[in-house]
Amino acid sequence: MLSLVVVLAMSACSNDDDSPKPVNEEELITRVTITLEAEGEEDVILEYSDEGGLGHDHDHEGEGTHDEDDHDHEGVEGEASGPLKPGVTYTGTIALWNESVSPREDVTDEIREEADEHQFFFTPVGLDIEPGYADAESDYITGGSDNPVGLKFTLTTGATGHGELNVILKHQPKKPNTGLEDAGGETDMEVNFHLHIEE
Amino acid sequence: MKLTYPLLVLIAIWGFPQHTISQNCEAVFEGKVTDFHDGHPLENALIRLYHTDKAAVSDIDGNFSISGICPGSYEVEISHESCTPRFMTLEITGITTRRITLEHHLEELREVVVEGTRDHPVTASATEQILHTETIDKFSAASVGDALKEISGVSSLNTGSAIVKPVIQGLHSSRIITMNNGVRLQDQEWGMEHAPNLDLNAAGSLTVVKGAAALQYGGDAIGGVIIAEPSKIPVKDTLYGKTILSGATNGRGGALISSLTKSYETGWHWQAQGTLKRFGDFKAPGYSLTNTGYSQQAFSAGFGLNKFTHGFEAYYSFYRNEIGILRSSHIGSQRDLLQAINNREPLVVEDFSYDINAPKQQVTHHLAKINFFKRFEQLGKWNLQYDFQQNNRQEYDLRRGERKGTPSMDMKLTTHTLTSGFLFDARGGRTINTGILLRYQHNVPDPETGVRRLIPDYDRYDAGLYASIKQAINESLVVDAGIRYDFNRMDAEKFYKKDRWEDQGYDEDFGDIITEDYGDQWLTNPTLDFHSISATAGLEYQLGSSTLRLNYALANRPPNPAELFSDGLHHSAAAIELGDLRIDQETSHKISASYALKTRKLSLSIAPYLNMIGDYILLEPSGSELNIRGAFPVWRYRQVDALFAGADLDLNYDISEHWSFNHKFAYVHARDRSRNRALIAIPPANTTNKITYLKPEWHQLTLSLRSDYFFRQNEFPDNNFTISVIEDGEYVDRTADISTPPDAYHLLGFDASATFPLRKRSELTVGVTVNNILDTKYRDYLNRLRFFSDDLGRNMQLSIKMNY
Repeated sequence: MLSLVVVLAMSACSNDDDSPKPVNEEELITRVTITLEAEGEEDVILEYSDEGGLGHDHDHEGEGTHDEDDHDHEGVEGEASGPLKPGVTYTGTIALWNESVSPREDVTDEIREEADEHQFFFTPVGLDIEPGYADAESDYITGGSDNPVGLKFTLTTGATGHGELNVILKHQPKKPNTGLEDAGGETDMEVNFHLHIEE
Repeated sequence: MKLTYPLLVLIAIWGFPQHTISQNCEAVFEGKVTDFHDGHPLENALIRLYHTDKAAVSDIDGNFSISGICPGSYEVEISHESCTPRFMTLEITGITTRRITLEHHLEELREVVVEGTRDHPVTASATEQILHTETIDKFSAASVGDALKEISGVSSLNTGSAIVKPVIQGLHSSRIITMNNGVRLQDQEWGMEHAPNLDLNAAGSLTVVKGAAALQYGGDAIGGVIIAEPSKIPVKDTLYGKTILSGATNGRGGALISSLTKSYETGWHWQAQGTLKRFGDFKAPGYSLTNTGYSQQAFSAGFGLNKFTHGFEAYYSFYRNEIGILRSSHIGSQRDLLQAINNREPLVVEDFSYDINAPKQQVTHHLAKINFFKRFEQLGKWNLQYDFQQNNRQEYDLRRGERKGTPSMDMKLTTHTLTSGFLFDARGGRTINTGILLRYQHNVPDPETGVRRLIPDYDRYDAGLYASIKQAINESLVVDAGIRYDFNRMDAEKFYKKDRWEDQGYDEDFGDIITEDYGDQWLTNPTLDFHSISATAGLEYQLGSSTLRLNYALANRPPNPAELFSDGLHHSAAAIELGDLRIDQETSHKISASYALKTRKLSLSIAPYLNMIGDYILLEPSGSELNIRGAFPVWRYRQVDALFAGADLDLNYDISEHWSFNHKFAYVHARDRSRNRALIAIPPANTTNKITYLKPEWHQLTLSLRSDYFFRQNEFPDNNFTISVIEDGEYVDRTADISTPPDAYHLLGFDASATFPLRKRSELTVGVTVNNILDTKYRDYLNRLRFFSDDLGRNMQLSIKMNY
């Protein structure tokens, strides 16, 4: 009874007539498009899109943390438009979008503006590919250093086969660094692409 | 005192000049002097008529009589040992009779009792410990949590070195009530990296009640109560103050603290106090801890009237801090966490700097209160208080683009509390304390952050009623008991993403609380009511120099907003934390005992306890989720039956005139009884040994050498997880060991101080403190940043304190 009185008495002083506004996660990357180009070769588009737009649609729930599946990896999976040719050096460009807002937001621009705070890392798994950087911070920001960013990069294919290409974007890694293991920082994006190298 | 007072009275009477009585002077003034509180007659009160030689002393029944008075108007003074003298103007003709009451609780008002003797101020039977001003001053550059670790059984849950949450006998956060000058702190205490927003330097004493026995503060203190009280202001004409300036090598910063108090014989008083602290990056042995600097500003001011029949106090305090979080601890996915753990050292180590960049937290806390009291003759003291608090917490993460300066979390928590209590202390040997509480709390997470709310908008209504009694049975036995009822309503407005809503199974259980559809989110209105009963009973038995205390306390704690509603990514833990609407209150049954022995050379206290907590709420991993930022473990709140058992030990031994030895030991064993496994984050056994040399003749020279030993925690649950990582072009499974506690460690410290008199009533104390003398590398199990870096290296601190 006391409680009822209290709630009634106190409701008077709370002005919660207007309900809260929903928040849509702003800092999202929902679409990753990597265009691989080489002279005389057909362009290959690697694409990842988070349909739900808000993450966590690839639930592992219930499976526990101990995954037996060897092919399971710690990243979402994108699609490749076609196979790569062996013995070719492709030039790659990366575009990132946030499509959960309208109009969609070009995240690539933000990375360019903060080139000194970001870096992409490319790691092939079971795939004969040699990645390399084709840009530097100075391409995007005035007074920038020679440290790579990775918005432009190269992939030099070797023998035929298939495997994974793991692409990671780190925010505020140690720069310069000797590679992913040394970089630290926060992972803003991690996508795997299953690629085929075919004649 | 008791013997000398009558003597003084006699001298006083004898001292008056003897005059002959004129013929008209036959009026008589007689009456009885009694204690205001309980009506007891006061013996040996001196009644004096000014400007005459007339005086009398009350007898054993409080009666007095003065005859041979010339009729007229007189100034009468009535005084008694340890009472405030009373003055009254009287017309005395014929036989004038007056009953005179005196305030007989002067000890309380004037602080006649030396602070150091009040070592058990709150309850009779529970385990309590108190820290006094001297100890608090030593920690002036540190935090409340650091100072409280001086009490055995109190440890801390840290996030780096600046965020220090007290842990009492293995329990922390919402299980501890923090009282700041009579106001229960409402500062989002539920979070693991939310330290109490309270300036240590505003406190004159810090008391820890280890358990829920202090029912007047709340019924949910399963872990205990921390009571920060300002120093008592004497009722006399005086002006005094204190300034402490300290500087430390580690962090290359320091603190400036100053306070000033003015009081008047009339009972009026005012005081003001301020604190400034600023530190840059701290240092572990071998490297700098980039972005660990902090700044704190705090001030408080108050004024009031303290009469013996009535009084009031108005008080305001402001607290603000900005704390940098170790740069390298801000990580993304599970893989980042594994990498950080395997690296052993932070990857980002920059040169020393005072800059505080993201990740960081910034907290502002306002507290205002007004308190009235009135004493009723032969009854007790009534007290009414309103207090207001506003806590604004902003947490900044690493963000991109124009959101860089925008916090990721920005919550404003506003609390209004009305309390009233009546303390019946008129009957000798018995005090009854009763009271009610009404509280309204409103939480607003700012939606402009662009990050989904971790804690939703909510209104919370609390109402409480309590009564407790303390009764002396005979000379050596005191019993106490109490009961409390609390009602708590949580009325939230929360957005759930529809897929989360279904994952949690809420669509079946809570379908009716959906109020609006926002595409991929539901807006819901969870309203949860909790009724809690808490109770306590115990006894204190004194036999010679020994005291035995035994207490039982029942406490119920409703779940906090984090346990109910958490829903989001926690960066430093690289985990998604999920609350659950189905979580119910937890119930604790705690039995504590203590045995204390005090002889001339030895003081010893042993305090064992057993705390059985039903439906204990904990956070633990359950599955993982994958998104574009990588894989994240999901940690969920769940409830188990838990048991905490342990003991705290304190020993003080005066070896010789100048040498003393001090020992402290604490151990707690904690178990998840539902699944028969260990509980996470339980402080390991630890012991402190200190040897002190004191030479009062040499300016109070005090030298002490201190050793702190923390054992390795061998009881811990296995929360490790396996993830596949790319090594040499292949996926391999690696285990991230987030469970194994760090090794035992030992720290040596040294402390020296001396006091020099300045002018009249002023003195200067100079102190030098060295912590971690050997620059030992160590990690603490209860430091959330232990995965990322070592703990602090050597620190030297110089402090100068001036009392005036």
